[in-house]
Amino acid sequence: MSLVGPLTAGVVVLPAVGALAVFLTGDRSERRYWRITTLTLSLTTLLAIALAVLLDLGGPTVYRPLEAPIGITFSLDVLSVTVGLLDVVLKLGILCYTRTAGPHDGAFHVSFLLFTTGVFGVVFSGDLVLTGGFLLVLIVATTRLIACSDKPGSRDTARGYRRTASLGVTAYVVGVVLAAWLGGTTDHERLAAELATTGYAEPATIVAFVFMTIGLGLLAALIPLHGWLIEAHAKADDPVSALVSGVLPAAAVYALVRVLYDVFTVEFLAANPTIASGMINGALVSLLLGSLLAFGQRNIKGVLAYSTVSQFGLVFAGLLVANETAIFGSVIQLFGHGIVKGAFCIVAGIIAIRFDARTIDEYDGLADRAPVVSVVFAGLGIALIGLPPTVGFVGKWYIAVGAFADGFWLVALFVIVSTVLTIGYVVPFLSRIYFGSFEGTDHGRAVVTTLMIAAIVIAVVLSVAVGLASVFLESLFREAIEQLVS
Amino acid sequence: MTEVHSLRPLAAVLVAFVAMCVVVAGRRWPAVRDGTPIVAGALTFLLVCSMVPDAHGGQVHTTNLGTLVAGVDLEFQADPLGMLFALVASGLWVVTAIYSVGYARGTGLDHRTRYTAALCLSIGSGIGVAFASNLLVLVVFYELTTVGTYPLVAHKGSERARRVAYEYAIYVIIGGTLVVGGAVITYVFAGTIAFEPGGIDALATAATEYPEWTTVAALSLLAGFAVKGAVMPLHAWLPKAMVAPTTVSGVLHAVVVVKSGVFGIARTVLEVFGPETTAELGIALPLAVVAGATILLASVLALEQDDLKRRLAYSTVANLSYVVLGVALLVPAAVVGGLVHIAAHAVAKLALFFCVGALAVETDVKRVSDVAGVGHRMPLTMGVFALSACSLAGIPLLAGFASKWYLLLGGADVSAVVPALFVVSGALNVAYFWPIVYGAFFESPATADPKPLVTGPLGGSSDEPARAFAGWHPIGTETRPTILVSLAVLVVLVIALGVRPDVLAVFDLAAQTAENAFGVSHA
Repeated sequence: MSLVGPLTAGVVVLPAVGALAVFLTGDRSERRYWRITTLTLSLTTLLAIALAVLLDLGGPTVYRPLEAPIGITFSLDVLSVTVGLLDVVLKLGILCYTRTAGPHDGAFHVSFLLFTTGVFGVVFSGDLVLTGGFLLVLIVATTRLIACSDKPGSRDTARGYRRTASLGVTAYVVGVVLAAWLGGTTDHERLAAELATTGYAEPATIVAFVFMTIGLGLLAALIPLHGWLIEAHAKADDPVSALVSGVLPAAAVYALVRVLYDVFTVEFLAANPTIASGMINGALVSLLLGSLLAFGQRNIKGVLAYSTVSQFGLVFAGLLVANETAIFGSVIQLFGHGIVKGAFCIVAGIIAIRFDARTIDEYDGLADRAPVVSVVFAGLGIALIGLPPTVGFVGKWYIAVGAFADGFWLVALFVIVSTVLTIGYVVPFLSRIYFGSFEGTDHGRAVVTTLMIAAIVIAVVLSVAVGLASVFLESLFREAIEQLVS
Repeated sequence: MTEVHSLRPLAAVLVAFVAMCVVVAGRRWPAVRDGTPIVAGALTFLLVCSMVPDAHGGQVHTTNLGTLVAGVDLEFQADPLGMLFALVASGLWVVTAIYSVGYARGTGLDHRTRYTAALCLSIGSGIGVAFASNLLVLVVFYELTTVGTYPLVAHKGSERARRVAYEYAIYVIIGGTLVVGGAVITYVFAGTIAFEPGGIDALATAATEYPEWTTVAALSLLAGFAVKGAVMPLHAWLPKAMVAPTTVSGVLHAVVVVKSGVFGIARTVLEVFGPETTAELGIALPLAVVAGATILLASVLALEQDDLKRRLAYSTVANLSYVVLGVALLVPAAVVGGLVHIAAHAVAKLALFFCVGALAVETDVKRVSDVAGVGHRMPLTMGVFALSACSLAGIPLLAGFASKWYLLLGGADVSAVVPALFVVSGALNVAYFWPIVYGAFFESPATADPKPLVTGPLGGSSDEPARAFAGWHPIGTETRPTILVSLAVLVVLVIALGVRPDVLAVFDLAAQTAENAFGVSHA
């Protein structure tokens, strides 16, 4: 316990300190920004791993550095550290890419680091208001990151994102205010106790829940609130897309899980079956429509964006099934998807800087020129489709087994069918890469560094390793998940 | 049966994957690239053979690598049924690897590294399917065979090849997905998906309590495997996939892919649900009817195909359903016949494909209407073709007779329809192979006429353009030695399996599988 507090504070504050350091460095050297960022995130990763070990040994912990009225509460368990770890690990991979390919400017690195503070804050927060605050940090950082791109219109997209996300936060805040009015506190644990006495069928409770869900659902890009994600993908740089797809919805979904299971608890869902089934159906629609819309995309980034929408429908559906097996499946899927999709964005970036290729037609015959990148693309594609033994398959397996065991056979069906839908947009790319004939431009191998290749190869290895290590992970997460649904 | 812990099943699976890596690493040295699969195939075959005596003695070599997902082990086992498939796959891999060298050099195939590596991956995953000890491990390798064969089907890179490969991928992944769905339901109801000879006990209990869901699980599994097993109406991908290089067609049709489909059906019926539960759920009869219908329909459709490979493809569709029929009849003798047919069909069909491939290498004969006189140009090749065709038609003393005999024995017990079916399908077999053999040996390009059975004017007409096969080739020089060697091996196997069906233990393994599943001693 003694070390959990300082480590938590360290993980949240350290990236912000790094951001400050980048800011104070001034315009001296772009390479120096990169070094500071890398160092900061490496340290954060180590701290987060240490925290994960402590939490695994000590079990879920509530940590309150400041009592009410200011009230700062962190609610920590292995799951939250895992989502945070996904962020930093992905970022270390992204840094391998941006070292030479950019963006290089200070604004990028500052917001890149603040993003991590936001993510850790959101996933660790045990207080509704605190979550809101960190969400704002996250949104500001993301807006800035999207605006870093040179592409025309990226600033408009960033502004659009800020507007949409602010709406989401507003909805969330309305819900929080209502909940606070009902329970007299915003601390998860205490509010949960208050709401239990107020009664879950109370209209005000339901309205509070609906507002928070809409707000966080928007940030998680669930259909029909997914528009911003597609737009952001089209305009943002590839490394930023990796974050927008891999981490941002994950953090929002996780915050939603906290609100759902920590504050409102499983009993709320039991008391309001309409809401529960409505949300599950919504998640399934997201899963299905996301995949179908991905079919129509010619641009790799469009495909990846819609695939993210679909995957988070899957994750969300698993989380709502509310049994341990399915939730574990969703967590695995959340983590695995983050790695796979993040790496996919980087691969798209590598292909774009070397071949200027963005659309499916431009992917013809790349395998002859860039065999390793093509193999990685194929490997990631297989993981995205969810063929065994990759993480994509294992996640779906657990979700399907959990859902079916609890009578949610429709969820199980959709989860399994989604595999087939995914082939429809992954295989055409593979077909072009391997069996087309190359006609584009080639800027040569030199633009792609060994570091970039190493990062994406590690991602593929991880996508299989996490799949094979699912039993170890299950033992790691068991206690946290049990507490979540108890 | 007793389990013996050993690394041999794992090693047999891994050799092919290592070979794939060696092929990729050694892509700059043709000798390494082409030689590795031959060595790896031989090694795998020896490993599998080394487990045969123990399999006879009721000892099952098992490699357990821990837990794959909660409640399901990552485990490989060399039980009789798995051994049967692994023997066929690994043994024929050696032959295929040898042939492949000659074929690829003869036709000037490009992207040889990708082609060879994908071939290794396909066969390695086939061995994985054979030795998987539960449904989930089986699915892992089942899907890996898809990953391995997709690039082979699309190999030519033409618009058509790519479209066909895409369709193929969709077909077989839907199949794999159905299997996953069935496995999920089975796991939830039975709490395990590990194969047990005679069926999973807990599933039998579940079948009485929740007959609907158990039926859904069974149908889902069977339909999933039937996609690769090309049982009608899920067969459409197979004739189209003929766009692939001939070696690949051989691997697809005889050795790995389609066989992993019917193998999955055998596993499902015999060792997941068990004969009793399958009969109880009332699935066996519809399955047998579908298989019977497939045999007849595919044989009729084979008559209509002018393209040699497509004709063989429909013949494959028909022959696979013999295996399915044997399993679905749920009597020990028929099961033995069906399982032996996995091997019998594999050797004969692989030989047929290799002959067609040899024709493509040396001449440009690709159609039935072009074969006239080719027997004089390539007597050995067409001789092998004739013999293999006889085997598939069930002529005694050849491989196909042995398997069909047991099928018939078992089938006659069940219903008189089965022998009738065999008579008709046997006649159709002769009908679609005879024109090729006859044309090749007893006609010359000048005197050729179509031999219509289904289409065309009765009696035919002689307006085919005259073709001549120039040049004199002494016996044994008609094509590349690697091709002839592999054909010779296959001929020996076709005859050996016919004269002594217990050669290579195939028959005994099948009998033992049936014995374990039905709990009675037999044959």
